[in-house]
Amino acid sequence: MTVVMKVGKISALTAITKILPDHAAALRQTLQGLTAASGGKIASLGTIHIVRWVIFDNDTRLLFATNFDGDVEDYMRDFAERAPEGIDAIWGHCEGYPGARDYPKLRDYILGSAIETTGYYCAYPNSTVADINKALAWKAKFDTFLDQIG
Amino acid sequence: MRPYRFPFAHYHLLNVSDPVKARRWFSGVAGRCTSVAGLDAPPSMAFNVALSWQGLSAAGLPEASLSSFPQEFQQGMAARADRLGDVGDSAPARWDAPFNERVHALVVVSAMTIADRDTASTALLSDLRDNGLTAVGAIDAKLLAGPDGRLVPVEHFGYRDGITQPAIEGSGEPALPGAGISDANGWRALKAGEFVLGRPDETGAVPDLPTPASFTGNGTFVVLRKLHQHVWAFRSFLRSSATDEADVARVAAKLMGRWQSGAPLALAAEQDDPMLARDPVRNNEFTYSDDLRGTSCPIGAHVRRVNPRSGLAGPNGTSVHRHRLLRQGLPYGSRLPADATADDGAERGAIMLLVNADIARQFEFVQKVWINDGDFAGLENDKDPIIGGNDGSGTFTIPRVGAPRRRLPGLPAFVSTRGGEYFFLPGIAALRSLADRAS
Repeated sequence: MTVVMKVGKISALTAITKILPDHAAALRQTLQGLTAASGGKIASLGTIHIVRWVIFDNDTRLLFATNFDGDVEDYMRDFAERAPEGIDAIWGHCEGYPGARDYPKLRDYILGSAIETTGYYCAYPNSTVADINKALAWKAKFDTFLDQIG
Repeated sequence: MRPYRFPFAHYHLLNVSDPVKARRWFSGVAGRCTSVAGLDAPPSMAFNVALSWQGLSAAGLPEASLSSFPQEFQQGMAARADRLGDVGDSAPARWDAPFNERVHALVVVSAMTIADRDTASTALLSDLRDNGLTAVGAIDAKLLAGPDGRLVPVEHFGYRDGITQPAIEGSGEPALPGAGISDANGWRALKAGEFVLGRPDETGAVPDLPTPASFTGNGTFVVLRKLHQHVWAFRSFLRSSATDEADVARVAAKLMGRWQSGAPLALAAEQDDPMLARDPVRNNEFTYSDDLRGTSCPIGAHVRRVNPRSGLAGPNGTSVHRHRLLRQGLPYGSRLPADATADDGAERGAIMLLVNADIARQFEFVQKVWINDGDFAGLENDKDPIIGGNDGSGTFTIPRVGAPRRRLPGLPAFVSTRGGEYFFLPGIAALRSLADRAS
């Protein structure tokens, strides 16, 4: 899948879709709500390093750029299994969206609207979101320990 | 399907040489087939027919129908090798005949006695010649003999096998504790749509099925895996990793998640409990939710990886019920004697039939994520210690109470893939209708 660039355990995917006429305001509200409160539902998926949505071209197009753990097929399927309503709430505002409950159609839609990644660098290509969160938790515990004995 | 209900089986692989005759033959044998739902009925024999995508194509199924089947089924198992971890010694280039080419059909003849099985197989093979079908291979599989010569449900490494099966709504089977999904009210059966096409699945909806629904409804997908077992390598690893004889048994139990008797570490963490192992009401009644660190049963143990129950902390735990498989396994080849002092190089292993409604979501996900990738459970690079694609550099982590975790290094592959294919098992009525489904 040339539209997905993978370095170590981390993959990059960028997709551009057309926003339905007069849907940009509702989409903007959805995206702001979804990413508020430390990521909420997105954080609970546990495999997404960074995800960015940009509404551009005078409210007519949506850019979706993400970095995630694992292969795109596992990632998207997992995403569709756990949060179909979240996917519907976003791309339901875009043209040609087939719905999240039919996985092969969803995959074809997202990968069909994906564009090639030309350059990609990751500072920690072999560390998953879980690895990083675990390391940070250990660091916090160790600091607490040092505070207690100091 | 239930494992070891039948101690003897032949797996016949066939190719279609004349589509018209073959379709007529498939229609004709429909009456002799045992359906997934009706497996309880015939006590002494079972007969099942399934076709690969290549087989459906060779039989002349219309193009519109062929192209509506899922991508992975169309491609077949060999083409999915990278995804499945079938590389190196497990690569399709090394597979045994007839799996070195794409086979068209699978006929499973299962029986309670070897005589019944052989008679049925002989009749089948003599029947094929005039019916547009060619036999390209057959695998002889049967339970292994125990110390007293009686057949026992034990696989080549020495573990009792076939304990856990998912309970399915409407199957007519009693749902034993541990067989289905654990929720707030105890154990419940899985929705039939996880295993049968055209029924509501765990989402509550009926997923789209290949067309026409009159042909694919009530059907299912059967994944066949021919897995060679490196028994000598397995025993050598246990001996070199363990500190003494008792530790051999302990390490063996930690790798599997069950003692060789079948008693689960989740319920018998410190020592084997053969009484527990023999009790079908108790030997599966656990969820791992009280052992999230894996100090009783390691998180990476084989049975826990392929069926994590409620034992996955964090987001990966929420979709466990979407990745279940119905398993039927039988050994092939002879047992390596317990007192063997060297590898005899013999072919031995297991034929696994894995039944699911969605090959990519169920079988391929389990194979790729749960078996060959440790990240789903915070295991980093640890693969399944029993059937994972290890290469001699694998590790296995045993969490402990009151001591640092024990890590076993240098894990080689104990299993190599020697063949396999994806098959579609039509419902009885659909198989009967095959004669009329030409393009």
